Amino acid sequence: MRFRIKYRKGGWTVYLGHLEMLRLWQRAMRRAGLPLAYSRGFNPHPRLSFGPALAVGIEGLAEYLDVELAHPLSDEEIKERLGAELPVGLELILVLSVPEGAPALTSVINAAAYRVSWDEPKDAETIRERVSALLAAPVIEVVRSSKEGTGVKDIRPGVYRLDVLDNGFLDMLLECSAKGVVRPEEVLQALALEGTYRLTRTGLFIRQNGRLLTPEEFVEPPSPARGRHRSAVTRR
Amino acid sequence: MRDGELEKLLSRVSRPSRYLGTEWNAVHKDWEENPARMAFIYPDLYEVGMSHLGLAILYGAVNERAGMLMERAFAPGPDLEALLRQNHIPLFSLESHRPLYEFDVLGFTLQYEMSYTTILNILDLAGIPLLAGERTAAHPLIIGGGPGAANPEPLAPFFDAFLLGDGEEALPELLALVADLKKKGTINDRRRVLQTIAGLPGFYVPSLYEVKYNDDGTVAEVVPREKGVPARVSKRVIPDLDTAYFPTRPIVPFLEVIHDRIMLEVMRGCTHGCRFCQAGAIYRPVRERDLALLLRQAEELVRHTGHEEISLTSLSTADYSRVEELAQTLTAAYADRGVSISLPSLRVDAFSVRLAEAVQRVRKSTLTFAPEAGSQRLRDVINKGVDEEDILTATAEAFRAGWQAIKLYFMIGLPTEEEGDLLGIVHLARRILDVGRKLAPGGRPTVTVSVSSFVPKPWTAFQWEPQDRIEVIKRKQEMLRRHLKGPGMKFNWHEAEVSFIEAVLSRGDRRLSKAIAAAWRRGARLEGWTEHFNFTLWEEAFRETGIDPAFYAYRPRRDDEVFPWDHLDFGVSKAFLKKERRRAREGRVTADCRSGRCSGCGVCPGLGVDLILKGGSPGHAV
Repeated sequence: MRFRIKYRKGGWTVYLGHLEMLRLWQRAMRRAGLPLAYSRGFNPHPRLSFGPALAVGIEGLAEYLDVELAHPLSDEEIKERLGAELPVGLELILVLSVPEGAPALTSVINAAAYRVSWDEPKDAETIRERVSALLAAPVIEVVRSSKEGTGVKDIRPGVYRLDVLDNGFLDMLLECSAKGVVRPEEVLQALALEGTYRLTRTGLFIRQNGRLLTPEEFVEPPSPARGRHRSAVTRR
Repeated sequence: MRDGELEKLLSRVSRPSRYLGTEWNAVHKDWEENPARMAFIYPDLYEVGMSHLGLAILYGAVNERAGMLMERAFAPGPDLEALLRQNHIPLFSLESHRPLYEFDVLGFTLQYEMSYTTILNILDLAGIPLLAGERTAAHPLIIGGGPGAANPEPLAPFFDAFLLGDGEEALPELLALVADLKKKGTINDRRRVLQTIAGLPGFYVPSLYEVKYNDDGTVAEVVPREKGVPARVSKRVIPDLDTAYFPTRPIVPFLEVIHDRIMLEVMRGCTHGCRFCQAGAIYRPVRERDLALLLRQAEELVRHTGHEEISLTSLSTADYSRVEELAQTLTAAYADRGVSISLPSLRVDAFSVRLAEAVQRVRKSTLTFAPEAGSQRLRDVINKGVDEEDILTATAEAFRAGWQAIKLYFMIGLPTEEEGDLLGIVHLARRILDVGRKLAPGGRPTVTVSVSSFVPKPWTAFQWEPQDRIEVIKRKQEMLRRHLKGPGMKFNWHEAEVSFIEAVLSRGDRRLSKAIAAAWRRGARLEGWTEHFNFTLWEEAFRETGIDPAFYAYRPRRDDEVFPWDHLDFGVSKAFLKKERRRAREGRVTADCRSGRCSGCGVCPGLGVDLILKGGSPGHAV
């Protein structure tokens, strides 16, 4: 039985790295007495899979993980038992069962939404002008360093939306998939809008044919019987 | 510190989860409602400190009581230290993020000599004067405990008091006293406070003692400066661990710490009596816990932590008289719950291998043994109590059971060691590798030889012995390195300079405090980490303070010499240690007191305690 968990990562837990989150969830699930399914082999470990990692220091309003259980429990019971075992700052939003064979979170999630707010509020008009100029550019080159060295990367194809709110906040929808990631910091750098700001990841999505689906909506496995790929079905 | 301020720091340091204080089972008690407030400080990084069972025990023992609270603090990483210094932010506790100077008591655990400079660094980061004599009622009481209290003299000028022995009863007593003194308003009279603490059993207040020296630099005597101060301070002992407090809701760290697992303390103490081993001496007598109690504690620990591993902790777990039953019951109980059992310290014998095999359903890649010396003669000198046959049988058994790699711990520079003993290490390792080639599945076994250098320690039969000179140790390491090459063979060694500083500090006196302070001022800290240890700082510190480190490390002690720790009492008698030293010279082994033959170390009659074995207790000599 696979379950999808949607949670908020806030408070002090924003300082936990991806591996720390993995350990934290495993231990919370054990404390909650969930009947975890273990991998086979020499070093069995519980079958947990996470959505895209969230950088340390960033709050996540809608993060996801999938867990496999050896025998079924109701969504409500999992939510209740697991919710009681989470440290301050982590909050369970939703637990729902996912059909066998549903695609893994990392293989389907391809977009991430972020909100930026600056410590010194900026004028919305100024930001709007810069955003329009940026989106009009055919190419947005940023410097990116990796293990192989430093290179220049065009992030324009991965910048899906930039919306400026009247209060001067900036909302972004950026590529976040197994194929590539555009970091919000890179966009801010390209906009020359760095300063001191707070970043929040407000959501993770499956962007498909111009539609945005949430991972709780995208739970049905592909159905070859129908002869065509049925990519998404709303569960309830 | 305001939380906004902390957030700014956390976003700029590596591993910020070290400093949050919001881990599962962390205790946040109300500051106002608990007038006696203590911070437990492990003078090393979080990941080392959180692996310490003593912290978990004392944290729980204090926090379960009304009127007192204990928070934690660790050495900050170098990046956070730099930020604290730049921004003039005092070092803080994890739970409430309060400056350490706001606590009534700061308790440092003295786990090893190389943390002493870190202690000074922490006091400095907390804005507290290093010298006890310069502190006032406005400052916390600085106390120390743990194995370093076996000879705390090099730290004496920095500390207000030391606690000798077990702390789970003594520490709440101290905090109750502090609460009482605060209520009465006498807490502001530092002198009175220290006199009162000196009256508590197990607490040693170094400033109330005067050390007199002989012309040759040795200690003549250590005497109380005033009436009413005990001439000798005895260690505290919890006589029965079954009735002692044990934490079943320990903190579950976010960060992966060194020992990231449940630590189930099956017993305290060790009966082997290895002549170099300080822990074996100062934690006597052996006190085993009841099997049914351990099973209950294990169940609660699993439920309250969610850990995936239970480590059966003690100095020598295979000795626990009901270890097979314990290991089998736990393995069976948790097999399908994803919780495995581990045994951190094993004897070198076939029984231990079978035990390891029984608990490790999943084959671990390496099994570790500690023969300590390469020849039978030298193993008898150190009273290791295993012979070559034991070692070969055990390792063969391990290879046969599927282990691919064997790790062997040895010590070099032991008293009476000769070249033949070192070659014995090489021969033994080679023989074990040959056995492995025959027996290990796949036929690609590895043998790792890990060599540390002998450090003479107080309260051992070897406390009179000199340490090998640095250049001699290096020559020996080089010889072993040359011989332990080739496929399947690996060789590790400890830095000789580190062992030298350990030797200087472990048997040091109060005069050494100046060198510790000088080394710290030159930048020494976090010296347990190879990347931070810098021997030059110590050389400069000794030169600056006019202290000759060779006097402490290389000088053989006279048989009748007064030691800087002779006014402390850990139960083991000096007469027994002298006898053991003689027997070592004669190559005579001394039986383990589990066998029923009392070796007469003096602990049981001296401290009014008894050996507690759950498989039945042997009798004692009178």
